[in-house]
Amino acid sequence: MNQHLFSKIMNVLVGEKRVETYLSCLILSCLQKINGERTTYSIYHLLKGKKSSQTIQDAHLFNMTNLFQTFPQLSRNFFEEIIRDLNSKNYIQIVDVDKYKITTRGMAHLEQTLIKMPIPGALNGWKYHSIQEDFWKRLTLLIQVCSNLINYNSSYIPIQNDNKTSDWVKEILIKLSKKREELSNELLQEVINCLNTKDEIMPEVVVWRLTGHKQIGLTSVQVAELFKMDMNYFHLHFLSTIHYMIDRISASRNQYPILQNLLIDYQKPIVLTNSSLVTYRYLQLGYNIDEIASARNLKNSTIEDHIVEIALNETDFSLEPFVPIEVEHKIRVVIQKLNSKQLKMIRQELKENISYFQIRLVQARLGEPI
Amino acid sequence: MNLEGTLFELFGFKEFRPGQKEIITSLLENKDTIGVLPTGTGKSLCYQFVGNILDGHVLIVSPLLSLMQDQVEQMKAKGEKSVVAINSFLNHDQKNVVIHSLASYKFIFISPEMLQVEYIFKKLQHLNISLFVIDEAHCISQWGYDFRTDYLKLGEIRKQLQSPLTLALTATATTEVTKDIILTLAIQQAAIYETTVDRPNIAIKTEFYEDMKAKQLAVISHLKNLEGPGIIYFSSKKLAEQTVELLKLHGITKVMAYHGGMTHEDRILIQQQFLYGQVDYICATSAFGMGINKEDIRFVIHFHMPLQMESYLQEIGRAGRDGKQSIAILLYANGDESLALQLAEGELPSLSQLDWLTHEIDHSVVKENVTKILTEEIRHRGGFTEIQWRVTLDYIQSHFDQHGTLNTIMNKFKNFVCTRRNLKIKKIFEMVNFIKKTDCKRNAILNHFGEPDLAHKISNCCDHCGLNLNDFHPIKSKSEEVKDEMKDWVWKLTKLLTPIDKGE
Repeated sequence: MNQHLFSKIMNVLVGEKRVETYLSCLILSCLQKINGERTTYSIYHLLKGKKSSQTIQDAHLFNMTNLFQTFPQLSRNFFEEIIRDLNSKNYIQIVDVDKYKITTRGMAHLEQTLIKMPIPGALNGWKYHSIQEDFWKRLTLLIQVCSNLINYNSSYIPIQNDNKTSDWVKEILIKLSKKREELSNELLQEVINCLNTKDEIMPEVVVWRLTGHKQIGLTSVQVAELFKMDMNYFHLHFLSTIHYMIDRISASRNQYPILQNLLIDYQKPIVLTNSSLVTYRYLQLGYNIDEIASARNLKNSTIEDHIVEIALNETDFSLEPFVPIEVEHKIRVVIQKLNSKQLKMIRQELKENISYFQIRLVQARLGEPI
Repeated sequence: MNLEGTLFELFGFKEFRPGQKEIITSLLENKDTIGVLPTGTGKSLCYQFVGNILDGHVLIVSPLLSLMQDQVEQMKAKGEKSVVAINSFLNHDQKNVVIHSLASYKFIFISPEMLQVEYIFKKLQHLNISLFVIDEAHCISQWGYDFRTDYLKLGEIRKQLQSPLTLALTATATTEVTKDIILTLAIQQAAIYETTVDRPNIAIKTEFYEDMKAKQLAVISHLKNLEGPGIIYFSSKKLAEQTVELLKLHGITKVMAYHGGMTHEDRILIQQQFLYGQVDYICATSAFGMGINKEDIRFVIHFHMPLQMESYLQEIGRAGRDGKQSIAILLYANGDESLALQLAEGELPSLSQLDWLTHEIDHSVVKENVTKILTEEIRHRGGFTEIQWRVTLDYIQSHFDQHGTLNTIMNKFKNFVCTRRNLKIKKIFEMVNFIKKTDCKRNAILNHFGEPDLAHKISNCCDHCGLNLNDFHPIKSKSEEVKDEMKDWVWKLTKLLTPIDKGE
């Protein structure tokens, strides 16, 4: 037996769990972005997709919205194990409790990995996390139903068993009311058009998972194995391809008379938390921070958090009542000069009586638009 | 009435399987009936057939959610659209819609706990139920390996439904279990139909190894030699997955793991891949198999021993449904029973957990509030597993209405737990005795279920009577694997969405 195979077998026997996967590289790239300015748990919450103002703000501030809720199953233990592993390999070094910076060694490793396996470009977790699952369920069931229709087979086990998805398919078939051959043919054309692109996506990772008449799709693990991909990397490519499809379909719905139905009742993520929304209503009625705080029996700082969240989400929202234009300008200059997101450093550099709240508001404007 | 003609008309079969015709005839003569038919021999055909002839609705109580979903899906797949399942898979809105339109369904599957919901039950009482079916009826019996307290109420429920014509179905039943079924359901005169549990085309083999690694090696070698497809059963998810990895590294590629920890979509995919021959071997936990109608399974290997003869019989019974020669191999290593004992232990709360709970809960609680005080938080603090907690809740809830305080209920529950635990242990040792038995294994199975020894010896019976493993090797060398060619995705997609005969 060759040595390589033997050592693989031994690894299986001792039950070694691979800590170093693409996920750990992904976490490393996040650590590089937050640069010790947030705790590692901000990354954990981002990947899990926690819908708190803090997580959402950080995602925008550090340009990581694409990764929002990409690993909802991630366990805290495993995440911590990855951090320990990165640390033990000297890819990162601790700067404060639960805060790490990437090392030169880590940088080199990250760059090397990303050249081979760049983060899939169409990935957009923040925008599409709330629809990706329904989209996938509908797509798989629709294709399975069509595939069986054209083969005149009505006896098969549906790949999705929830009533919501099957009701959707029934509705769509009635709504489209096409001949089965016509329907399948047009669906085929639409999917091909949607996936046929020079952009960096891998249609294979989606297509090989689809089920039809007497052709059962592969599970994610099987596709990853077939294409010899790291499981986590496969997962990102899969999501990215789904996001790409949603993107294209919603951009030109007319070109996709069948597929556009996959987006029925898709709602853009509710951008403001409920509490911030209430604050927003007060602001629109002309209340100021103090008044809102006492009316709602909340602390001023909480209301300020809400306003930052509003600034992040509403591009039309004017900062002027809170930050005079010339102050905003000064803050912008300092932020760009320091290239840091640490409030304390920025405030020191400004040497003026400028509040953290004002800096955060300007930061919010400089982050990624939603 | 020409039953065969109706059979062909309704189901497309020319003849009945053993037992089916007797049960159907008995029901059509308006006799309450108990049917003991091995899994996979078409139990559900009995009530579908009768339901199609009688007016009114067929109400089917089924204890296992996944089994219920499977049955409903298969009935739907075969074209029976007037079927619905009422269970906890439905959310509030869906449940309301279903309950509202209940009268429009011919076949109504329901879980025991949904029968306890008053407004659902009231609705059912207004329906004309022409046949009341209790699936997995052995769950009624305290002597059964799978006793469920909520099944005890089925007698009362049957009475409140005006004692409709009743069919109790189970795959395995000892005499004690059958007696319990009749008693609990208050069936006046039951017609009992049993078919033999023997499956002459399945050879029975037990093999002894020194440890787990040796067993893994045995699996590898069996898979290289035996004709597939086949199932390998494990008690542990982790070991099932590990063995799949090992098999792959040893060049056996068309193998997948299957267990309850996987997503619904993945489980369906793997099941279907197995059904259509895209996968040849499944390393599974006992979650695999229910509702899988694959005729040509050639072997079932048990990597771990099942917890009782009933499960063993069900699991090996998945082999050779096409009647062709198949084999069941059980791998045993010394001390395997300790894992079995551990698993059985984990299904029931311990006495000290129950003492703790008795101490912890407020004894002045009234029935309506009892679920409110037994919170998840208490579950965690008491270290109850989900299954232990379910048993505890079920028991307390279903015994609360009997006069007595919470204290007496808890004491009764402790007695109940002890009895159940002893029964489970007894069942495990029955299993061990069977494995170590040096007589005919087939007769041992028959005797266990109250049947006499076989009158005639058969070839390839068991390791005691003699079997030739070569008979289970493929006649031709394993056919050249047709590679799933790495064609491009457009080709693949086109194949999915064009008729198969024109596709290539």
